[in-house]
Amino acid sequence: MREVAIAGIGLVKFSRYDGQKGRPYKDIYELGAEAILKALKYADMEWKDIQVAYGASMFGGLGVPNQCTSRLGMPGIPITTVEGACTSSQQGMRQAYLDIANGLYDVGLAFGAEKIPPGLIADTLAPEWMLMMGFNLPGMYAIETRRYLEESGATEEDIARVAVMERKNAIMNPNSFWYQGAAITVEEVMNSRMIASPIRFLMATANADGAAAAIVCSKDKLKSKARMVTIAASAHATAPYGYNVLGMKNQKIVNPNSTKIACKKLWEMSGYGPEDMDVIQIYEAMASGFLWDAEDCGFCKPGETGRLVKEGYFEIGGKMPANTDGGLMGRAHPTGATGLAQIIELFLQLRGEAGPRQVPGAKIAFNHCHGGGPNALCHILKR
Amino acid sequence: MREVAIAGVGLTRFGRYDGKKGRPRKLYPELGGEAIFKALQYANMDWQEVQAAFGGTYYGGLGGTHQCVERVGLTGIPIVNIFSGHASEAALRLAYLRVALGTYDIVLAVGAETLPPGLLDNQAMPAWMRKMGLDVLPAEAACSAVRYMEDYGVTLDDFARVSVMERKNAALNPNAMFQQEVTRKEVLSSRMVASPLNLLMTCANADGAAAIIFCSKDKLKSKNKSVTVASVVQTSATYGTALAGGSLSMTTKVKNPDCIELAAKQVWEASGYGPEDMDVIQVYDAFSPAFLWNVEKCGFCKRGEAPRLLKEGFFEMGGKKPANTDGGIMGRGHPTGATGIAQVAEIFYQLREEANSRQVTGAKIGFAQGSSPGPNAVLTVLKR
Repeated sequence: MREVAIAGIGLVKFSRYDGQKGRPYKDIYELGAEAILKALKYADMEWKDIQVAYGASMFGGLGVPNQCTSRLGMPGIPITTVEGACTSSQQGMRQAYLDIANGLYDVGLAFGAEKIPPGLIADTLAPEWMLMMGFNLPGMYAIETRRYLEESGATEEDIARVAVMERKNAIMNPNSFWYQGAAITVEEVMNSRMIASPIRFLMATANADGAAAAIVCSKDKLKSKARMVTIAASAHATAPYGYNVLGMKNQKIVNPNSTKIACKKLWEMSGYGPEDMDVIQIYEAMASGFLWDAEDCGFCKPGETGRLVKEGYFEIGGKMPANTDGGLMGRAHPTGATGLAQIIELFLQLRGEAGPRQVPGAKIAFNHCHGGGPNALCHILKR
Repeated sequence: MREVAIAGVGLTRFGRYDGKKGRPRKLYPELGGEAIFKALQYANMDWQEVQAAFGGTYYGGLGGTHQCVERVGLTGIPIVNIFSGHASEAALRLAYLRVALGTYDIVLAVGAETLPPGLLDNQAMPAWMRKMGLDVLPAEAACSAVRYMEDYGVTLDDFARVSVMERKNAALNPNAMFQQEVTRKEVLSSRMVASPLNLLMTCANADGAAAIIFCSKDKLKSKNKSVTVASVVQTSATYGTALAGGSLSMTTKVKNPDCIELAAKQVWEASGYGPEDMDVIQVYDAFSPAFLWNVEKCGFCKRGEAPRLLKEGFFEMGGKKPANTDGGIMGRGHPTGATGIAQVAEIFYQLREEANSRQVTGAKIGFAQGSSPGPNAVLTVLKR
């Protein structure tokens, strides 16, 4: 397999594009097209350079990628709509990466666009019977969180600290939902209203609209090789809902955990270990997810994350800066775009373009993305 | 790219699994699981050997592929759910590519569907088109049909002949929804759905599933009559634009190349074959008239010629270019998510000489068309 570089990225600020309270109205196609256009500009490429596209949207329905790209021109290239819930756009990038790494194409596009309805989101990937029982996302996270707290001895304050850390980072990120917003305190998080005990309002990601795009290519197609960022490794794994896992660990036996399987593959194939990473992204639609996912990815031992967060281990300036763009708590969560937004932050960090949230000298980065299915996607980027 | 073989296919019978009128009740994940089991059995493989899976449904919602695969057992392999309506042909292409490019050796593609009753909508159209009602599929097809009639002097009789031919073939296919032939008179006198399309010129909503396993040649359990992929290509277009082709062709008078024509050009180039080399073909037609313009777009005859050739028996079993030998979508029924793989499965059976009473003698090379809302076109050429 040959090396695959990221040529350009484009983000549309995560926000609400609903035309209310003075906010602009944009439809999902426009958001997607805007992100693609930005990525083309960044890469110094033209639309007709793109040979294959993978698009994603969780709530937009069919054909969204075709519509988004039609705003730029339609050369008839294969456009595939990949659906992997919150991982959708990162799955698209993985497929484009595989196409290019294996020499089928030289330049590929991945993108995700989303406009999310308000309110609690159902995990529509769960089997029918679970949906009928009302397993919505905060509810499912709540069950898993309760178990994690019991087993690890972590506290609700530990969860709150994740939200506080991410908000702090988000305030510095012009593309995040909470850009230039107010910092929050542990007390504020703990006093915010309850959504699904023990998950409180400020421990849950915000529904947001937005779009993200990335152009991946073979090295020879890069317009400039300065500070080149390549995809060092890519892994994808799945696990079951229902039966013995419910998407949650309700059995004591070690069930396949998609995050663990994907990370194991990733560390094996890349030759790197968690300790080699300079900056990381961990997926967490609810703040508590950060705690167990940092452990499942191998960044610390089971039950340790809470203490490490408290000690500033994952802060910018800490030993393992995580979710420097605000993560899902601070950046918010336009589901179809989230997977690529994560990659984009790591790309900017490795390029040294992350502004006030820059991790000095970051050369190698890790990404964890998780979503309904359940799917887990893990990537290593390096400069 | 290395050579890729088809190790096995699995189909459930297409029909209604709604628990009514004595029919069993099965939802699409169960049907999908059943198709996967059959494909594994055909391939003489264990589930543990499969390294990745691609799939999709139209109406099953998110995570459809995961739910189908779950019936067989989840081993942690990457499962990619493709969301493009009749998604299984796009999934099939990716499954093929991942083996051809050497990422994996054995990859599964699966499509399954439980369709609601009534007229279906084209959800890939942008919101404004859907709000105008342009997305009602029979109505969309009716527009294209009228234009086709106007442009080439085609008649309703020609459309009816497609239904008659496909129902005749379906009667020979135990997996087809319809097991009875119809006459041209019956088609023409069936009730109107969207003028000029009668009930028997529109496909039936059906439930069902199809699965296919691709592998590198060294992973085949038996190399006897092995069927390999000559080429699979995909092209895409957008509704409301020049490239939309059949759909919304009423918005533009220029005869633009559409994604099917573009894909045909690519598949003939990539495979090294031409339409004349095909021994048996599967053409996509959710509505009878689509058969006519699709054989033309794919290059099997000139524009406007298909009705005459059909009348002459050109596309019949025993004709020069046997088409839709399994009954096509008119006879087999249309569980949207499963259709793309079913199209290819029939070619596979034909090349393996396992099509029984509908066997095309000596078939060695075959062609299958998949089309889906998007619009996307996926064309496949298989050879023995």
